[in-house]
Amino acid sequence: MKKKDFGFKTIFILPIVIYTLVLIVLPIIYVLFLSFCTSDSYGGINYQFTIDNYINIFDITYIKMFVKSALIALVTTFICLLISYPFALILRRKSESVKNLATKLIMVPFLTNSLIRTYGWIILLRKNGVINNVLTGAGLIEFPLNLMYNKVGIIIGMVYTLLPFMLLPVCSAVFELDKNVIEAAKDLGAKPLQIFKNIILPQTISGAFNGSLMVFIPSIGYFFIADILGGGKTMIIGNLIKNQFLTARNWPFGSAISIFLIIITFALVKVYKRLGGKIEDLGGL
Amino acid sequence: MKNRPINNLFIFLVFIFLYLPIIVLVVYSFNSSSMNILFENFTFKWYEEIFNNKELIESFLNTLMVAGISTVVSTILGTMAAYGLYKYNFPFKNLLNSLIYIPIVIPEIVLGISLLSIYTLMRLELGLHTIIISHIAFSIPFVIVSVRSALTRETITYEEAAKDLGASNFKIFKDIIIPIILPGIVSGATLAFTLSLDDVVISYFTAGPGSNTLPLYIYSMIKTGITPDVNALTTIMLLIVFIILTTIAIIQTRKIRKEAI
Amino acid sequence: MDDKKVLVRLENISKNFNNVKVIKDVSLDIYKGEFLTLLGPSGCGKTTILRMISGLDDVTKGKVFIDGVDVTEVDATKREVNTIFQNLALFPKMTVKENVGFGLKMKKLDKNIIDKRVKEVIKLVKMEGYEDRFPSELSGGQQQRIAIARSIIMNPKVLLLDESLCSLDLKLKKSMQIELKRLQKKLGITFIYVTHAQDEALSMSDRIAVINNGKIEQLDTPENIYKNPKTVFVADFIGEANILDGKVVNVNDGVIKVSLFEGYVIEIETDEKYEKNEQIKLIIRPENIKISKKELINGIEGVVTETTYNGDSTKILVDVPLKEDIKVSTTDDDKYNSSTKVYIKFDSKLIVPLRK
Repeated sequence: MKKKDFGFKTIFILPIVIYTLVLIVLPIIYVLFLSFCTSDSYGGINYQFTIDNYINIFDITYIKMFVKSALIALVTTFICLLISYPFALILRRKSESVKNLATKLIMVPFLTNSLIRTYGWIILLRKNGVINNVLTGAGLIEFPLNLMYNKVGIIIGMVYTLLPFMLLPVCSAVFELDKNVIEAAKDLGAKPLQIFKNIILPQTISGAFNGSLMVFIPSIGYFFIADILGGGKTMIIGNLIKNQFLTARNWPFGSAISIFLIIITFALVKVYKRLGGKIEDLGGL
Repeated sequence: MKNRPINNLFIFLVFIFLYLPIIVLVVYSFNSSSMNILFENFTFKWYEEIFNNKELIESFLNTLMVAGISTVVSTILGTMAAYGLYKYNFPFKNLLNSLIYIPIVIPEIVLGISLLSIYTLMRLELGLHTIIISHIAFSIPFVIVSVRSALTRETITYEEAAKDLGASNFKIFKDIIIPIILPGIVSGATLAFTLSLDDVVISYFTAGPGSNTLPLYIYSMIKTGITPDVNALTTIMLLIVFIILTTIAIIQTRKIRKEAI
Repeated sequence: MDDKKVLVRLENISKNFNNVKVIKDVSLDIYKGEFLTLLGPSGCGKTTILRMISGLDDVTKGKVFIDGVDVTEVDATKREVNTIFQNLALFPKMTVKENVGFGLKMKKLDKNIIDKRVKEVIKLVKMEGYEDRFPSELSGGQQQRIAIARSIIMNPKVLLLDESLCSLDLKLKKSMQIELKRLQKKLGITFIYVTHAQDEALSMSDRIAVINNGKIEQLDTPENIYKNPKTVFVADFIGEANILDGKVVNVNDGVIKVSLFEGYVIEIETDEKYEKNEQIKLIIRPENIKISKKELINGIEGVVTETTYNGDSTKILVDVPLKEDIKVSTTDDDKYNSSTKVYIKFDSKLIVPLRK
């Protein structure tokens, strides 16, 4: 490279290097550091080395909560997959303009804040809400259903908020499927379920895992959905971290849980890469 | 999958699911009852009410400002970074390349608390500025990803062709690269703007006392009950988005038609 | 080419990519006004040599001179050399006019002058009427012309063409070849053309440099390259050739006797000095072998294994007592079906002996 290129290169490289160091690397290293500190009873931090915060994670009450939170996240992911595949497979046969319109329409709700939309679900789901009123009015049920302030409400809220993150990668993977391959399978006598299992699923697995990652990971952290639609009765990991930082003011413990989540995330990303997924496709909406 | 009506019904139901809470919000913005429970009479009063609710107006304007500033800054920085990472080699480039994806993959709450921690460490007072910095922090990677997808192998030859014809680095970037990657920049900016408007978690941790944005204002009201003027404001926002999107769609179809002729 | 003035000189240039030597100590003089082709298989380094002349790649070692001036450290933007890229690299968001005028705009010339020059050059490549189109609205051949126009408007001393005709279909390729030669004669610009297609190289070039493994194997006129290949690689790469192993059995004042197999000896005239018992290679082109169903004096008996009809000639593979089948090309009307017993005979004057 010629020397005068150097200034130009600096302008394009230096800001991103500073950004990465200050706003990505430093915060995570600091949280890692905090996770090995002790907290005093006034919410302050003692710079005294301990691994107690990590040992505390394995307390039975927390373990139970983690399992519950992971189950909610898994169910959410699974429901999103169950909706996204038929959606994508049906849309695959439509014209290019219909596909474009559909993918745009998936994005539009994002332009209103997710909290506002979650609030919309309260109007729909509560005891005297729209859904119960319609169902009792139609005589389908006698007494209103408990659709919120429980796990059902949380899962509805999570599926609703995160569904687009599954729909978009699954659609783009399914749309790329070679039509001839599916027709060849049909020609050889494969039934629809066999075609899905043997042809469609293997070829779209990295798209599906991409979506699963973008649904599963946030759904262990979206405390506001658990707060609003779960009525604060069911805690997910996100609530625990939030409480440690804002209410209990035990930052070291909250940091340890966060590091724990980061490790899980990196492990999942590794699996995704193994499945042939590209890191730059993640979050590419 | 055959083209059966039941298939179209499924697509329709998915969209109903996606739009149901929004439709409900819009409908209840015209409800004369202040409770958002039973629909009593049709009214426009909540639209007037918006202007009397100073807190709502203020938090709305703050939200727009945060989204606007963070979108502009992250689009500029993200575009430059994507081009720099595409064009140049430097030590630890691969490491940097994977570090950049961290904000996309880690849970937002972890990003939120780690930014909060670092602001505290730096003794930075929390307020609108910390929300803006945080939104820039999580938007940049998304902009980089979408700009990068527009920088293909062909871009290198365009760049070399321009160099061969005597264009300076700056001219190459301005006259050749920007027009080619413009779609990527636009979608990156749209993404940054959308993510900022949609965000709850990161704002929740990095906001200071008195630095109200719309999600924080609504969050504080949700336990006591939200007044329909919020519905009204949401309806107006949706209307604006809808008008913008339709205008873009119309312009695009016109352009396509023109090219077809 | 009367004055044979050297326009581009490469002096012992080498190039490393990630510590791998891709160009090894290449020296080359290119004369003013000539059409020189760098010919070689993909990955041989021919494009790298071109890019070192244009300045898009740095040289690791050695010097590049253009018109007597050392330009080794001069940036690509400042060299009076222009390139037509393999994929043409027409700027997609600019019209034909904007593409062609781009280089002059970068020179900050007056808008009227640019417009005038653009008009001239577009006329030169016969593309009047397409000024306001975008590259995507042009056919492959038209894009080709615009890429040429965009380069020649700069009045380069040397025009570099990087496999520019590869993407075109055969008919268009032929007409573009003629077009290129016409432009080259008219403008008197030196052309350096890179290709892996030997037919393009043979038909267009004044001289050809055959490149292999980052080195020049042979630099000569097309005729000499074909008739007197200096290395086995050149013989094999240019056209079809039979490459036979032989052993020198007798050396006698410009004539050597070479044994091809037990009991078959052939006499070859050569200026090169060979030792007795030396193992050498013999190159013989398929069209320089006579084939007949009747016995030939001093011929080799064999059996036809395959025939391919090519329109103007027939290619025949003959199994003889040698390692590989001999390729023969004939314009005879005789039918040579598989399994036919035939006799072949080499034209010993057209056999090229080579050291291994």
